[in-house]
Amino acid sequence: MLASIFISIFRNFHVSMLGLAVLLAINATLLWGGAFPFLPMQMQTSDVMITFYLLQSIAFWGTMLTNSLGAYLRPSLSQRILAFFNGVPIFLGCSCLIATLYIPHLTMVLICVGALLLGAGCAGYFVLLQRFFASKDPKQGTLFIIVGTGLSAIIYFLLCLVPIAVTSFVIPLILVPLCGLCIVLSTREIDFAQPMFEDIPSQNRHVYFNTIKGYWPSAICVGCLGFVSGIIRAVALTEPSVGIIINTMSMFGALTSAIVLLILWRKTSFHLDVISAFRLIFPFIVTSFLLLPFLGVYFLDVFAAALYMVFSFALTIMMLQCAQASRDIGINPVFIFGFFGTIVYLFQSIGFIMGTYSGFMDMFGYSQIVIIALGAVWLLGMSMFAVRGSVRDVYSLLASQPSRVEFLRHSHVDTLKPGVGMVANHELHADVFDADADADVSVSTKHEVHAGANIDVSPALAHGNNANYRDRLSKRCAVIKRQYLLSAREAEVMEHIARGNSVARIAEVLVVSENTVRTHSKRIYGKLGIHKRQSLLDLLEENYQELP
Amino acid sequence: MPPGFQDITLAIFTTLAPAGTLAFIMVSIAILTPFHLDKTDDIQLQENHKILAKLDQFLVLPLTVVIVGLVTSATHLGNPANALYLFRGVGRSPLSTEVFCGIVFLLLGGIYWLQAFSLKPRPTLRKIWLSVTIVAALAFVVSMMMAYSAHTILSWNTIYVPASLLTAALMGASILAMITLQLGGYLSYRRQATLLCCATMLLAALATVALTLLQAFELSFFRTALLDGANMALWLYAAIVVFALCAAAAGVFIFAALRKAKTSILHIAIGCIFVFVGIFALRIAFYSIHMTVGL
Repeated sequence: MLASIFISIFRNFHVSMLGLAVLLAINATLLWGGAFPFLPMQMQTSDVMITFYLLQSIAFWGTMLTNSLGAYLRPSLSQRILAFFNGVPIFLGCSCLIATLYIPHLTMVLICVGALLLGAGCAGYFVLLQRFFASKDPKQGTLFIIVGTGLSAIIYFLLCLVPIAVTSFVIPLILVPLCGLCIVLSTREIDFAQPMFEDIPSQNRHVYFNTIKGYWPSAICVGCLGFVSGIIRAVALTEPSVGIIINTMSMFGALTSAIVLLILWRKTSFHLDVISAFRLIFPFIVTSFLLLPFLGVYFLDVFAAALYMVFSFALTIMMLQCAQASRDIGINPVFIFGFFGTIVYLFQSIGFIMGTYSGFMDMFGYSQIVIIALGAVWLLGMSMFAVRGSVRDVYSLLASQPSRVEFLRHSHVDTLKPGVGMVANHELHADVFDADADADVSVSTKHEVHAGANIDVSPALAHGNNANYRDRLSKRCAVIKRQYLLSAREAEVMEHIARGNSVARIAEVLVVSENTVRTHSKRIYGKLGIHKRQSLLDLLEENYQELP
Repeated sequence: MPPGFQDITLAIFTTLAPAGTLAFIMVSIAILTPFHLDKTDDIQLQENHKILAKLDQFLVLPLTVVIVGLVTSATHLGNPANALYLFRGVGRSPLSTEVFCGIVFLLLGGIYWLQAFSLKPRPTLRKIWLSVTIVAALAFVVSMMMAYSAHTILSWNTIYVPASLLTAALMGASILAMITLQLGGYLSYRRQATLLCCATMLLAALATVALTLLQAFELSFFRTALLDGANMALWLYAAIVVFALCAAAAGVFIFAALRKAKTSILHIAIGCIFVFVGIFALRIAFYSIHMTVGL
C-alpha cells in the first residue's frame, strides 16, 4: 500500500509540493525554531525571545489580513503578487538575525526588524502557494497540499543534520531562493481565467459576506488550537526542552497526518468535519488544562507534543478547506486563506501574549500556570459557545454541515457505464492517483447558503447520506453523485439544473456568482461526459430505471 | 577507528566539492559549445534550445554535490558567529581563501541556475555569466588544491597531493558530468561526449593510482621522532587497492549502462557512487598521513 502511494507521488511530483515542504521547514526552523539555535546563548534573553516571537506572529497575521483585504478591494493586485518580492523580506529578515552576531549593541532593533520581515515574508509565501493550490483541479490541489506537508517533515529532519552554525546561512542562501523558485514555477501554471480570480468581489459582495458568515466557525475552531499553541510557545520559553519537542512533534504530526490522509483517501471517500473534530478534541484540551497546574512541567511535554501534532493536522485541513471553498463558491483564494490565516494566527498571538504576561500575576499571589489554565479554558469555552451556541441550530433540522471537508474516492471504473464519458473526465482532469484511487475534496458552505439551498434541493445530497430524499429526482441525483464521484456542491448544482433552474436562479439560491455556477456546470458535464441538459435528464432517467 | 577518520567531514568535502565543481565546468563547456550542425534547420535548432535549457536546469546536480560537501565541512565551525570572521583570512589563510572561493562560485552558479527558469531569453548575458562562473569554479578548484601545501607538514607538502586531488576529482567529475548530460538529453545527440567522459575517467583513474603510488613511495623515506613514513604509507597502499576495486566496479556499471539501447541513468548513478567511495578512501588515507616537521 505504502509503496504504491510512494510510486504515485513520485509519478505526480510537482514543484509546488517541494515549495510547500521547504516553506513549512523554513517556517518551523526560522519562525518558531526562533532563529535562536543560530544565536549565541548569551543573546537568548527572555526579552529578545518574547519580542521576536510576538512581532513575527503579529507580522504573520497582519500580512494575512492585508492580503485578504487586498484580494477584496484590489483583486487585480492580488493576481500580480510576485514570489521573489516575498522572498526579499525573508532574506533581509535572516540577514538582520545574522547581523546581531556582529553588531550586538543593536540586537533588539535587529531582532524587531528581522521578526517583522520574517513573519511577513513567510506569510506571503504561504498565500502565494495557497493561491496556486486553490487554482488547481481538486484532486491535484489536495494531493499537492498533503504530500507537501508530509515532505516538509523530511526536509526539516534533514535540516537538523546540518550543523547549527551553518543553518542560519543555508536557509536564506539556499532554501529561500529554492522555495521562491518553486512558487514562481507553480504560479506560471495558474489559470487566472477562473471565476475565483475573474469575478470582482465588490460586485459580488453578498457572496463574500456569506462566505465569511459561513466559514468563521471553522476558522475559530482552528484558531482555538492556534491559541493553545501560542500559550504553549510562551511557556516553552521558560522550558527550552519543550521548544524542541514542539518543533519535532509539529513535523512528526505533519508527516503522520499526510500519511494517514493519503492512505484513507486512497481507500475510501470520507468527510472531515472541522467543527465536529474540534468538538471531539475539546474535552481532551480542557482536561489537559485542568491537569496542567497539578502535574506541572513533565505533563507539559506530553501535552505540547500531542497538541502540536493536532495543530499541524488542523493547518493542513485548513489549507484544504480554503482551497475547496474557493472552488465551490468561486471566491478569491487569497481572500479566504487570508481570512482563515488572520483568525488562526491572531488567536495564536493572543495565546502567546496571555502565556507570556500571565507571569506578572505571580506578584499578586496567583500562580502563572493556574492563570494560564483558567484563561485558556474560559476562551476555549467561549469559542465553543460561539461556534455551537446558535439557537437556530436547535430547531433547524435541515441545516447541513458546512464545516465539512469532503474526500471523495474517485473513479469507480467498474461501476461506470462504458462509453458514458469517463474519457472526457480524464481529459479534463489529469490523473492524480491510479484510476481507482483518486479523490476529490470539497467543502460545503454555511448556514445562509444552505438555508437557501434547502428550498430547492434535497438535504440528503448536501449531507451525502441516503436519508431524507425530497423526491425521486433527488434520489437519482444521489446515485449519480456516488457513481460519478461528484462533490457535494456539484451534486447540488446538478439537481438545480435537472429541475430546470436557470443559472441566475441557481446563483441566487446558492449565493455564488453566475460565473461560479457555470464553472460547476462545466465540471459536472465534464465528469458525466455530456454536453447539454437533456443528456443529464436522460442519464438521470437511465439511472432511475436501473435502480433496484 | 583508523587514522584519518577524525577528519571524515573534510574527507567528504574534498571528495565531493572538487568533483562537483569540475563537473559543473564540464557541463558548462558543453552548454557554451554550440553543437547544432545545420543552422538553417529550425527543428534541430529548437531541439538544441530545449537540450540547452534542460542542461541549464540540471546544473543543479553538480551544484548540490558541491553544497553538500561545503555544508559537511562546516561541522568544524562551532559558533555561527565565526562564519563571517572566516572572510578576514582571505588571501592570508589558505582555508579561508578556499571557503571564500567556494561561496563566490556557488553564488554565481546558483544565480545562473535560477535564471535558467526565466521566461525571457538573454543569451549573451547567460554566456558571460556562465563564463565568469567557470573562472570562479577554476579558482575554487585551485584553492582546494593549494589548501594543504604547508611547509610544516612534511607528508602533505609535495606535488603529488594537489595533483592526485585534481586527478581523483576529474574522475568523479567525469561521471557526474555524464549523469548531468544524460539527464539533459545531450549525450544521445553527441555520442562523442560519452566517449570523452569515459576516456577522461579512465585516464584520471590511472593517473590517480600512479600519483598516489609515487606519493606513498616518497612518504616511506620520511621519518620523525614519533612517526615512521614507511608505516604510514601502508594506509595509502590500502586506499589504492580500495580505489582500484571501486573504479573497476564503476567501470563495469558504466559499461553495462552504455550497452543498453537507451543509456541507463541508474547504472551510471551506481557507478558514480563507487567512484566517490573510491575517492573517499583515498582522502581518508590522505588525512591519516599527517606528519608534522617537529614530531
